[in-house]
Amino acid sequence: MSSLSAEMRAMLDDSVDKFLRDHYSFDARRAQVESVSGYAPDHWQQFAELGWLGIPFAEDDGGLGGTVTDTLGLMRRFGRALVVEPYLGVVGLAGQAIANSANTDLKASLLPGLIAGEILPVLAWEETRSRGNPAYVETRAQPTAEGWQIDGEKITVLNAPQATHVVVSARSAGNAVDDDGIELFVVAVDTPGVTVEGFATVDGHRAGRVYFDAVAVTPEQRLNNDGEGGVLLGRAIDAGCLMLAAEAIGAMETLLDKTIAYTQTRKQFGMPIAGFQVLQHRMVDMYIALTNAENLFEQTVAEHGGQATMPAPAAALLKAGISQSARYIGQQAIQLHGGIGMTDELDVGHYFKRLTALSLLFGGVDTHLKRYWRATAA
Amino acid sequence: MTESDNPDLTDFRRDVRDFIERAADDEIREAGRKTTSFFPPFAPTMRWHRLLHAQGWSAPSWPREHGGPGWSVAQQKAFEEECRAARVPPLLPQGLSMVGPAIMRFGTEAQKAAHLPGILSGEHFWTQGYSEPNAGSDLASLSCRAERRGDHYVINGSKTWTTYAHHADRMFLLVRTEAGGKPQQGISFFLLDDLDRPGLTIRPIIGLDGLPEQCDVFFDDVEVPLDSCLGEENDGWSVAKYLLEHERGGSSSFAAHFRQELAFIRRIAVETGDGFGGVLADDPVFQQRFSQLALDVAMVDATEVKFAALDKGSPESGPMSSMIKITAMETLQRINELAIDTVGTPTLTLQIEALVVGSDTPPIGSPDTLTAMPKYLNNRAATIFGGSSEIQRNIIAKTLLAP
Ligand SMILES: Cc1cc2nc3c(=O)[nH]c(=O)nc-3n(C[C@H](O)[C@H](O)[C@H](O)COP(=O)(O)OP(=O)(O)OC[C@H]3O[C@@H](n4cnc5c(N)ncnc54)[C@H](O)[C@@H]3O)c2cc1C
Repeated sequence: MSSLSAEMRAMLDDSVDKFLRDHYSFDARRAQVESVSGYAPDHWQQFAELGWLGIPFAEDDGGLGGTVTDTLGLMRRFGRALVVEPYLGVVGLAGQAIANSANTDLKASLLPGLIAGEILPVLAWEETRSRGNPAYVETRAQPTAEGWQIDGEKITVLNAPQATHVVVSARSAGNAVDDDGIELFVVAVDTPGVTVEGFATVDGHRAGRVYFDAVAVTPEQRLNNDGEGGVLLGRAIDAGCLMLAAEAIGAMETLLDKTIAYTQTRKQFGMPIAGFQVLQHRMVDMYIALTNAENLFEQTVAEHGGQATMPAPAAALLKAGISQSARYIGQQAIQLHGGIGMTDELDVGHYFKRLTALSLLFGGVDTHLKRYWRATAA
Repeated sequence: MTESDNPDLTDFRRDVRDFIERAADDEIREAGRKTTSFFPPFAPTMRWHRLLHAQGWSAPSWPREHGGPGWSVAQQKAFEEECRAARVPPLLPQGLSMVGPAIMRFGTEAQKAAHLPGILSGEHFWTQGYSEPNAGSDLASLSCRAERRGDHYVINGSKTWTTYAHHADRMFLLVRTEAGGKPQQGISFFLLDDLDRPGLTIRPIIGLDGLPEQCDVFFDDVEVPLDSCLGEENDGWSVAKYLLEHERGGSSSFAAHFRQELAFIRRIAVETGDGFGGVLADDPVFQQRFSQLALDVAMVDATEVKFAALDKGSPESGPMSSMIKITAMETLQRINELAIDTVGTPTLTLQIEALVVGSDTPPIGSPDTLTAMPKYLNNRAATIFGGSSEIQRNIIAKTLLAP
């Protein structure tokens, strides 16, 4: 569960609300999305000063002493404002892989910089053939005299073009599908042999492909103990899923609010379109999709948020449920707005695109339903 | 696709394939591959239109007297299938499938002679000016007006969502020529054969995929000749409705289009890992979703063939065109959704430059997957334009539940 006090969390929530109100109008966001870096480095500095980058890290490491659960209020607000800063990728995925690491020296060398906003580590785990399964790793970590040599290719690495470091999963033993034999290394992006092919994504964020060509790493760069890399990686991604769920709920509730407001003002056939029963029912269904997802989310957090590792069945059902609701609410919001919903000018389409991305990231509905089955089949 | 053909279509199909092979150059094929909505890349598509015209094949469903090839419904369907299979761009529908048939039905001999040849040949591109900011689903409430002043009409008001108006040299539009009475009364259907007129401004609208496709069109004291009306003055609603049936029922063949999209998904699934060392094509969940869509497309196909034989404007054809619109567009959206789910996160990459025809920006990831996300985004509009799915259901309900 949360380890910050209720007062502390309320304070954080207020500070996020205030910041977003003051600095995150839709036009301001658009300017950031269209900028070269894709986010506002000065926002990131303010996140650091406000303590947000340290929320889920131990006080000994320079953090606020909270857990991932304590970032969920912030993530939900980020979802409402469509924040594009790399919080999920850096504080979530990479940050959790580092924070839970057994390599205390490496952790101590990275977390203070992350929390201060000086370095941006990201997590490179997905591969062309992995389809949301983090245990599927073809990237090789070939043992050498000094450590390992990494060769391989990672796709859809969130925030790759903004990164200073990459936390990469690579296999030192076994076949691509084995749960064992996975290692996690931290590599600076300017290391010889590392190439980042960065790009913008449809939701206004940034990601990239990262290529590793004979990249030499030492034991000092390895986050995990022998045999524990896969678990460490799985934990980081499940934490990411929880944060993603919070963001999706924020985006969905805003989109539903906007849709209700629009249909109450938009008139056709001499009346507000919200007066048509078919649209009323549709909005009720959107509300049901949101509320059920939100309740499942809250229950999952209450039951498993404090555990070191979320049980796979619960994690899988949460991601599948969030992805389903995200699809439905996104699609219906466009439908109910009519033509105006299809434009770049209105924010509605941008919520739709972010929800589309969130439904695909870390595995979509089909992947997680399959994961549920595999995790529960005796 | 070929098993149900009667034997004499084999030669026909071969001729079509040979022609496409010969006539469609790289740029035209690239435009076909980079078509991400119902509106393919403009310039190469119009060039393809003109090449097809030179062969006499630009308007498969038009009657012979207006320059159609005189093909049977089966031939038209085979032609569409071959074009889709070769992935050449579909021709733009506004002239060939919308205003063209309306001019044949309602036009004077002079209007037919003035406009049909340019539509057939692809010399002219017509844009559709129906919708307005306050008249979308409730089209009859439109307020863009035309007043007689001397020897011309003067138009004031605006149109919106006007697809490819920024490329168009002609426009058909609905204007109010008389106030009062029922909203459907007093509307006239205008043919504008010149958009380069004082007071007429066109402003492109950027869509979800980041590219302009629709436009706002503003009329500020725009003068047009008195003979601009198609059909009777104040009776444009009949023309508009007739045209909408053509738009909805798809004189184009949806089934051929959708089967191509499914074939594309199947190709990707054969190459895409399932995350456990196998490929997606062997995954029962994928197979189920895919085959369900094949069934949906079979139904679109069957209904479309039935519709093609109906006399447009007959009592059954209106509701049936609505039914095709609903079934086809909702099926397409599910196909597009399966495509992004099949490709997975690589579909998230924004590739605006790589999608431009002639671009030297190479695609990131497999070129095959480049269009999956833009199609998913753009085709959300398929249940909105041409009358939304909700409006089509209202239309069918009116007939179905009539006392
Ligand atoms: C990509 C695209 C291309 C287009 N191209 C053209 C073009 O070339 N030319 C042109 O003239 N127009 C074009 N349109 C406009 C299109 O026809 C309109 O968007 C459409 O008619 C819907 O109108 P609207 O956008 O104003 O939505 P609205 O009418 O405001 O509808 C909003 C929502 O309310 C629902 N609704 C409205 N009335 C009812 C009711 N009575 N019962 C139940 N639900 C209802 C609708 O179904 C929709 O979900 C295009 C639109 C798009 C998106």
